[in-house]
Amino acid sequence: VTAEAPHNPTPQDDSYRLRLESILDNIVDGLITIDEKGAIQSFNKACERMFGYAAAEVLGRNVNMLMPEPYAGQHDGYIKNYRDTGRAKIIGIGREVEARRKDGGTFPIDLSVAEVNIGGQRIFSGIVRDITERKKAEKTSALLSALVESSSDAIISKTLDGVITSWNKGAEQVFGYASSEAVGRNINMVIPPERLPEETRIIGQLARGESIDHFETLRRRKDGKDIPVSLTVSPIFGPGGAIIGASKVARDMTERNLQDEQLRHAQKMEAVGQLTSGVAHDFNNLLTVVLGNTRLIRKMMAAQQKLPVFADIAERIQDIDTAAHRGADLVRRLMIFTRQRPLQKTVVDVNACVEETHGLLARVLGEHIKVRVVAGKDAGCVRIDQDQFINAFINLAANARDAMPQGGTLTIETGRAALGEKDKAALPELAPGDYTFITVSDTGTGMPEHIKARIFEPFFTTKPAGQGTGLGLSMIYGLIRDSGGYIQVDSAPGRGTTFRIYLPPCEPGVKSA
Amino acid sequence: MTQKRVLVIDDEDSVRKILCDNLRLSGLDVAAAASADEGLALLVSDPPGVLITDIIMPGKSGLDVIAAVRKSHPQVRILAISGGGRIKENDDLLEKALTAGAEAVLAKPLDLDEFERTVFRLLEAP
Repeated sequence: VTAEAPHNPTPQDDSYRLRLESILDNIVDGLITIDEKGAIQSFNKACERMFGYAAAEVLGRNVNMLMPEPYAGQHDGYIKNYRDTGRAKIIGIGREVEARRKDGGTFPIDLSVAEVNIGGQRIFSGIVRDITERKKAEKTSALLSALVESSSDAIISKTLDGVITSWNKGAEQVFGYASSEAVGRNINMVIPPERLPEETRIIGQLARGESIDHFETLRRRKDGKDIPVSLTVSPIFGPGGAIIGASKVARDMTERNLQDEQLRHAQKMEAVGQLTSGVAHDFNNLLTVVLGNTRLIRKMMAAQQKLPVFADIAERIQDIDTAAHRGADLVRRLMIFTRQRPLQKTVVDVNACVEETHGLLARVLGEHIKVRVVAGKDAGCVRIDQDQFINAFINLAANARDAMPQGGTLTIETGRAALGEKDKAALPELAPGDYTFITVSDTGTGMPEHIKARIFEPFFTTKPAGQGTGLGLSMIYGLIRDSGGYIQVDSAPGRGTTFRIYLPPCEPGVKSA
Repeated sequence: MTQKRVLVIDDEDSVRKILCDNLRLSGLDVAAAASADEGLALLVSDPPGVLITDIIMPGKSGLDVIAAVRKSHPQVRILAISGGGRIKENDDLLEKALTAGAEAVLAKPLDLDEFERTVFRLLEAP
């Protein structure tokens, strides 16, 4: 390039200009130049493709024809304002604006405007980039981000060597780490040490391009608690097709597992209930025969006035009678569990009932165990068989006593609780609403999970043979269920045991059925 | 109708036998049947003062017996007994028996003294 004098073209200049035009026509971006009044002076091929006009259709016309309203109406004003004040709005910088095609349609463009002075004439050049595809991609990406962010599942991406690259809100909730705490760290931080080999296996599968679907395992929260999760892990492929990382969806299964467990438990109790009610029926017939015969024998002996002779036999008969009566009592208790024995329900003031039981409990518990009562003013009344209710307290107290051989404290707390949707998982059998609660807690040895899981089953006992029927808690379970409530147990070795009873409250004076 | 006559309907042989033996020892004239149909036939041929019927029986139940007797023999006193337990809807069988027209109900296992007192009370009732 030897000279630049557009005001005085020479053949060299023409060739230079032609070369320049050819280059400009072949660039991907659109290039428009306008004079200081806004008249279009040049319009390259890329512009023709973008706007749908041939250059000849637009040259000399106002550039605002390429803009939709309101920009079109405002553009002359912008130019005038710039001419008058020298204050530029977009010159020298770029911005995203809307452009208008020949067919009237609009499309997003990235526009950068520059001002050049050629031979004393002000020219504005605009480089126009069609960003329709980019906008679409941005929209899709924003939608995907919103989806990921709104998911309650943890959605995580990581590199193949385990470095976390993204961490959604779900992950924050499931694992307890904020995104800022997690991104950049290794995924191993949420894996219990004994589960680490699992991750090595998963990475091996990913490296082979395989996905892992609904793999149920344990992961560790920030608070140290291990939670059951279902993992779906898929490889992320880079532009060249190579695997560059993995996406991981972790669903917290705590609630689901709890519900499954509750259902299994309810079904088991139902089956046991049916079985025991069948046994109870036959047993009652057998006991009627035993008791009927002992009575008959006694009467026959009395009729023959030979009782003194048969004193030994009479004693044996008395033993049979006693045993049969104990059997009858056992059946009666079983029937309460299976809800076959009608309960004598009355309206019971919970706090008054607890107060009444207090003295009785002290005798059951002995001197080394302290009884603490926290009576909630709003506990109110429930409809229940009062005798059985008192029996339930005594039974729970006796269990607590056995769990506190070295002494301790038994706490009975009453009150009112509002159960909402969030309690559904733990108490699926109770509809949301107000409930009177009674908790009986001890400071005793507590129970491991496998015992806790079976505690309400009839005949399940941890006591030595002959020292417990295994019916106490199952009777309470039956009583509470039959009274429209639910009983829950919370216990862990060394942490004591808390039984929590929920019953629907009723107004004092409501007639009992 | 024999005033001191009692009819016992129970499908369990051993239960039926011991109930009958106890009542006989107390001086009552006792007839026995192992099913509702057999009992109803006996009742028609020689109506008792008191009918004692089990509730849960194969075929016609004690509740069916009570309904039939209430229609055909309103003067017969009825004592319903039930062991309960076998069927799920059994919670209030005794209550259903009272509603159907039984004068008294007792749950098994029976307290035989109470049973006998109840039978005599029904026999003597005006």
